[in-house]
Amino acid sequence: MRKTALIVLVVALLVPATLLAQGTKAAPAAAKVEYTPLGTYPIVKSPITVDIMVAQPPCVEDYNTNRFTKYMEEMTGVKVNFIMVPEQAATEKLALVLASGDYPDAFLGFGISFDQETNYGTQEGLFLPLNKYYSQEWMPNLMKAFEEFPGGVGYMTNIDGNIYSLPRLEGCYHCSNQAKLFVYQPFLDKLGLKTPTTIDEFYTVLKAIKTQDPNGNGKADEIPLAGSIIGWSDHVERFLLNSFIYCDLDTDINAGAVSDVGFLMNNGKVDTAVNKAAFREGLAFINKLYREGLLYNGSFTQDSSQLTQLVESSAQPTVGFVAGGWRGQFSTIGGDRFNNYRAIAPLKGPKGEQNSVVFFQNPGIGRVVVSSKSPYADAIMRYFDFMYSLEGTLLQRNGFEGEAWAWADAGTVGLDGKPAIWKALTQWNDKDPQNDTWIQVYAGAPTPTMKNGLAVEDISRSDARYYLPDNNEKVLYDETAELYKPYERTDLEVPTLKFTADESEKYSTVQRELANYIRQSAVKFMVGSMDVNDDKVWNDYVAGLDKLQLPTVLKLMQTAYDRQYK
Amino acid sequence: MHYKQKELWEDRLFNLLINIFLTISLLIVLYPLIYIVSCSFSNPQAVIAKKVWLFPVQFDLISYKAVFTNKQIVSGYMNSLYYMVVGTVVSVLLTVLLAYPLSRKEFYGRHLVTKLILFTMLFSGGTIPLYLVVRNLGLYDSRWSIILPNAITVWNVIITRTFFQENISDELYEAATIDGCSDIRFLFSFVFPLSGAIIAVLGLFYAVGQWNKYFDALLYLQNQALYPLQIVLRNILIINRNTPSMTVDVEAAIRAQGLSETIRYAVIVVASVPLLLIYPFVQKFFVKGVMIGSVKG
Repeated sequence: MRKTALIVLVVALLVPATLLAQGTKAAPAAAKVEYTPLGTYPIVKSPITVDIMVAQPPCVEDYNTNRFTKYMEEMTGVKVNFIMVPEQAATEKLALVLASGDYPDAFLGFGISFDQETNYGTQEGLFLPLNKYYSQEWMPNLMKAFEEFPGGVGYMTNIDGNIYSLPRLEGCYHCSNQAKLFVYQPFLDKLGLKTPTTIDEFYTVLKAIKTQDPNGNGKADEIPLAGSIIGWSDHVERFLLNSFIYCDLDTDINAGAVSDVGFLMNNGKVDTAVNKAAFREGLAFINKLYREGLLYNGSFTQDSSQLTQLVESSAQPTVGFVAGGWRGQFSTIGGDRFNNYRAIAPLKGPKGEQNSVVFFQNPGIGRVVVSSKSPYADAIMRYFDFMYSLEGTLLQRNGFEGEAWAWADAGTVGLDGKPAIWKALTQWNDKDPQNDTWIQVYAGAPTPTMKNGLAVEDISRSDARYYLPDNNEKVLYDETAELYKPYERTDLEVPTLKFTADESEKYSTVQRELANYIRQSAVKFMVGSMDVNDDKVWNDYVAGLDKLQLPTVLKLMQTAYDRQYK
Repeated sequence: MHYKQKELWEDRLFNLLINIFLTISLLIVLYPLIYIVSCSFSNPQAVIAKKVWLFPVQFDLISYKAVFTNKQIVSGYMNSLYYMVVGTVVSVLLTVLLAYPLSRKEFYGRHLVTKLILFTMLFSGGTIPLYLVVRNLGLYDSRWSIILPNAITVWNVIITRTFFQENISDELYEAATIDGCSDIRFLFSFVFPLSGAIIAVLGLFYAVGQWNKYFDALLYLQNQALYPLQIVLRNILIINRNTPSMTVDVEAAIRAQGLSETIRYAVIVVASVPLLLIYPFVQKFFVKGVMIGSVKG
């Protein structure tokens, strides 16, 4: 009796957990949609509703009640029922939803990678190939935006020949040469030195900052050169090594396994910088700076907020040269120190090498994918085509015309000095939650033409206002155009490579281990825990590269390169 | 007499040393907490410039303003409270209901059931199957998806079972059954009142777990009105991070550059205060509770 009662108790607890069977909701019957002729709005004769799952950034309150969403609905006749998932859970959520079999019509803003496209598109057939829509007839605005990205359509194409997604076509001019070095100009003025142009001059200036007390406080507290290992191009070696050999190596602990590992193109062959004598000379130079206390010894352990503290915390300015993508990486925006740092051009090395690392501005892949089961693919493609027009991008990114932006007045000039295209009435802001527009351009075309067509006030370089934060975009443009563009070597940078599912599966661990080894060794050489001047240590390191299958990885990359670019 | 005096002197020294040691330990534990609170009340620029070391410098509520002006913070707080209270009640009830039969020697097959339960401690189906189960049970995007899927922690069941075995004597059970008491009646009239310590401990364990729940909510919830505090706080952190992207509102960027430092501290304070308030009331049971069963004999 008692036993029975206990068994019943336990069973009652366990049974509900085993009752899993409950059918999924039946998919809606493929509706008959009546479309209007291509190139006209609205898109459909009678309104339709499509489900789109969107990765929601915190700056958008609700996609369904968003004013831009309403605008699109009125224009196209397509009502989108947005299913919002938090941006930070997008990757997990995508996998879960695709495994559950209950898909929305499309996914927006998930940044689906080539590997995922191969996996879910090529192999499982869950994503619809969109090749047909990449045409003047279907998506004129998209094709026009692609004109600024030569080879962009090829880049979007998966190895199986299908295009599975719509891109974000963003061009950031100054990001294409982001490995910059800045100098605190008052130090140079005080010491009566010119901006260094060669490695030797650079060394002399560092020495002078260290020994001649440019901040005038009577203490030898100056730090001639500093950087950080976590941060947006805060790494000193990315700037300095390029005076010895073209090298895109990034020692950031968050860097990827395939790009930024020091690979380069050598007469049409994929090669690497990291086993060359010139690379060793570069490391030896940085090691010399480190040993002599010219390079701040926390540069390979701190992150960019610590770097900012280093620059800002002392009563008098102390830091001479700092590496960073822009001045805000290491100083308080608008502060006195921020306003006084100036970018310097790549330095000429002992053998005349003088390079600026190239960052290809590729289309952002995987911004919109369509479920292969969706009956509404035509409508979705035409809906998103509008977003790639200049107007569509501005509406989506900045807000409404006349409130957030307007077409430029005649006679105003843009960042690049050409006649301006548009002007900003309010600043772009992703810091405050709002429900007016989408802010993040998931599918759209903030192309270089659009970005450089922003009307700016023409401030002369001698005007003190030139270096203030309000003029930041112009400063970034000018620095990049004058100091870095002349030295960029697009012929040496390895373009983005695509690997087949088999290749990724076989070699991703090998690539990861090799990249870790290269990064760690480079840092060890620079800080001197491995002696770069000792031939035996160097030879052991080079032998270690082969042991970790460097030749195999190079061959793999060569295969991928030939497949895409030959 | 002399002997006794000497002992006193040694005692005093011993006590002094212990007090010094404990004071140092207290400072080591307390300092980071004070530092966090001070930073959260300081001006962001002062924190960046490392001027804060003990007390707030340039007292400033800007970090808290950024947290509390968020529209979701109130609903986040309410939801987390709901998940914590309801989740804890459900979890404690289910845990006791499972642990009690397992503690009865005359329950046939209890070793098998224990093994089955232990199995789930070591192996799980993984995220995707669990997601499918949650969805097909119709829990998806409801409050129950946060409360039910991980309602029982095996570890807590074992602690509770051991507690029952050692503290609820067989004689008591026999005496009760002779008077015609059923198992259910025994559970609610005897076991519950006698198990204050273990229930307080379970309650605290489950309450902390529910309060900190983040990932489950990310996976199973879609309706923003159901989001717990942790997701809301995470959003506040993300929105105030210092982004490398340019073309931003310069004022917003300046604000974020400083705030990204101090807002972390404010968020820590906001998230921890409710638990810190509960803890002292449960703590007296706590030490007693987890130690139970550790001494065999």
